[in-house]
Order: sequence, then structure tokens, then C-alpha cells
Amino acid sequence: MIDLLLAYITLTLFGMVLLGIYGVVTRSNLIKKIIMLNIMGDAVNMLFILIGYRIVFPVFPPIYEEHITFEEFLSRAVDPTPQALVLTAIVIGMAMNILLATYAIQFYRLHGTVDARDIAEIIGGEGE
Amino acid sequence: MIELHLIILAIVVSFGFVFSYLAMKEHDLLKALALSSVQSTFFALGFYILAAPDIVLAYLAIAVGAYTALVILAISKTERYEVGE
Amino acid sequence: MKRDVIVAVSFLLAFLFMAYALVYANVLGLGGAELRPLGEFYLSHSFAHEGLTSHSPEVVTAIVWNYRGFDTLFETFVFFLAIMGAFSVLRLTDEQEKLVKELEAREPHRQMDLIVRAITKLVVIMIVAISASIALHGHLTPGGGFQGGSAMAVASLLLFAAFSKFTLERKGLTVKHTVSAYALGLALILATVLAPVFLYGGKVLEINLLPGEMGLFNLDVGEYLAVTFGFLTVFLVLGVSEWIFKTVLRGEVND
Repeated sequence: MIDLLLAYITLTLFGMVLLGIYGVVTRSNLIKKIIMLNIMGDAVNMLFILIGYRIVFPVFPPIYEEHITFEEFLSRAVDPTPQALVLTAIVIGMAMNILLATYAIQFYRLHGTVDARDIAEIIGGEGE
Repeated sequence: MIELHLIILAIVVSFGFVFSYLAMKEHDLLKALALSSVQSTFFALGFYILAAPDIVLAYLAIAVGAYTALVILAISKTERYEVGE
Repeated sequence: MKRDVIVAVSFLLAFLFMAYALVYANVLGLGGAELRPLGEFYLSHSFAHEGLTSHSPEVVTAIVWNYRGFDTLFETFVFFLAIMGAFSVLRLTDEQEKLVKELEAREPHRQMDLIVRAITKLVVIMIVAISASIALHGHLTPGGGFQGGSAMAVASLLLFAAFSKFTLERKGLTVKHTVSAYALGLALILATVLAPVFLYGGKVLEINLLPGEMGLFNLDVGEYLAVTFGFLTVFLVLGVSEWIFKTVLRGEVND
């Protein structure tokens, strides 16, 4: 039962990663690309946190409280390392979004389009 | 009892998948953004179930608040509708 | 059409491969009840009384600012660079700034009705209190500088939507002031990082030498200021109406 549920969750999350990549590749609007990139990032973050999860009950967050003993805390708390990494990833992802959205807005002001096919024509690349 | 957590997590992740698929299919960018914030809300619930309160606090404020506002500003300054292929 | 088939087939292959790796080979090591050695080290040392400890019961903040402090320090500067990059893409010359000011004075002064404004005032006070509590207790309870700062960004966004950009600017939150407050937060972080070197003869980021919980607390407060005013700077810059920008840019082309 637990293995089945874990397999379902991980495969759904990996499917979301592929969905995000598919959206980034096939949609031509730059803002839509940003939205799909974020969906992909969310799924990757969730997979990361899932790696640190432990199949014990009850499971504690990695914050030490006074009314439990240290041994119990060690045997029940989840792994804090992926959480610290994902915290960094979320904030950096937001900084990246700010930069991408700003570039899209500035491109629209200068050239009047945010469509990747038109952009390819404007900058002289290989359009389709 | 840990199965209950995993079942809730599976439901949350399934809803996240469905809403992100709908967001990909949507040609109105504002609607796509709204669907992707619904997906973010479900994922915040998922982070809470995975015993990560630090992530929930950062993720809810950023993914539902600041990111949505940023993309709404970007949409209002560019185009609302995506041109289909 | 041919490209679509190739994309579909490669995605299917990637999915099948990952399905095999995740479910049968279990490459991620999911489903165990035991800790990994690194996680066990962090959990058992972060609140211990001796050894490589950070004196903080909140293990995530301890990792973020103590064990992996350099990572977070440079991450703060990556965030700074991203926001300054956005700022410099949208920059204007001094004459254009003056033109924007004139055009903004001509724009009709819009804000929402009385009910929305009154409720927003109350809610903003609550969000500011909660975000301060998240950030200032970051080394004891869930939370920290990032979390508090992003909650505070939501408060400033609410003000932005219910009132207007001009109300914020009249209250003193102009771009110059927010960038200065951002720099103040970064300066606090740098001072805390360098204080062990100059005061106690330690190494950079050896914040355990500082008295009590001062190290983690100062870093959290600095990060709180930095993230709050970083977001506010971006939204103030992006909040200028589009027709103003277009008029200004067109004026530049005609000259």
C-alpha cells in the first residue's frame, strides 16, 4: 500500500515535470513559458521534499520542542537538508521570475510582441 | 496511519497535475495564471503534509501572492491572449 | 508534425525510464524510516550544548544561516543582482524621470472605495505584525528572514492594489528610499558576517562567537529587510502605467 502510494505520487510529480518542459517547449507566448516553468519548478521542489520524508508515525517537523525527548525527536523528525535547499530554490526561483518578466515587458515595449515565433524573425534567427 | 498522510498527499498531487494541465491548455493567460495559483495552493497543502512548515510559510506568500501579482502586472503590460498555433 | 512525434516518443521514453528507476530500482531512496547521515548530523547537533552546534532549536534556519551560511549569503546577493538587473533594464534618464513625474501628475487619481480601503488598513496591520513575528522568531519557531519578507511583500501589494502607487510614494516609500532600506538590510547582513573577524579574531561567518543568539537573529532581520524592500522596489518600478512609458520612449525616438 505504502509503496504503491509513493510510486503514484512520485510518478505524478515526474509527469508534472515533463508537462512543464512540454509547455515551455511548445507554447510560444513568453508569459506562458514563465507560468509553465514555474509549474515545473514546483514539481521538482515537491520531489525534493519527498526525498526527506520518513515513513514513521507520528512524523515531526525538524524543530526541536521541549516536551519531547531527544531520542524520540531523532527517531521521528524528517530530514531537514532538502527543506533548507528548497527554501533557497524558492527564493531564487522568484528572483528569476522577476528578471524574466522584466525582460518580457521591455521586449514588448521595444518590439510590440511577446511571441517567440515573431521574436525569432525580429532578431534574425531561424523562425518556422 | 501514515497511509492517511500519503493518501491526502496523492489527492493533492493529483489535483495539482490536473490544474497544471488545464493551465497549459488555457489560451487566456489570466485564466491560466489563476489555474496555476490553484495548483500552488494545493502544493502548499502538500508541503504542510510533508512536515515542512518553513517551506509552507515561504511558498504560500511567494507562489500565491508575489508571483501572481508579478505575472498579472506583466500580462497587463503585454498581451492577454495567447496566439494559437 | 514529425517534430511532434519525436517529442512525444522521447517524453514517453523518459517517463518509462524514470518510472522504472523510481519504482523498481528506487534511486531516490524513498519509503525508508531511517535518516540519512547528513540529516542525522544536523538534527542531533543543531541544539546540542557542545560540539559543532548552532544553539538553535529550528534546524532549517540553523542549516540555512549557520552550517550552509556561505550558500545563503551569496544567494542573498544573487537576489540583489536579479532585482538590480530588473531595475537597470527598466531604467530611465533624469530627463525621462522628470517627464514621467509630469505625466503621472496628469493621470486620474484612482483608488478603491471606502470599505475596501478601511479593511485593507486593518489587514495590512495584521500582516505586518505576523510577518515581523515570523522573521524575528525565525531561530526559535518555523520561519525566518525569507518567509517574513515574502509575507511582508504581500502586505505592500495589498496597499498597492487598494490605494495606489501615489499613496505609497506620498507616504515616503519612493524607489530611492526602498533601495536605501534594501542596502541597509544587506549592510546589516555584511556587518554580522564580518563581526567575528574584527571583534573576536575568528573566521568569516563564525557567528557562534557572537553573544547569545545575536548571530542568527541579526541575519534574519537583515534578510527580512532585504527581501521586503527588494519586492517593494520591483513593484514600484513595474507599477508605472504603460502609456506613460510609451509616451516617454516615443518622445526619445522623435528627438
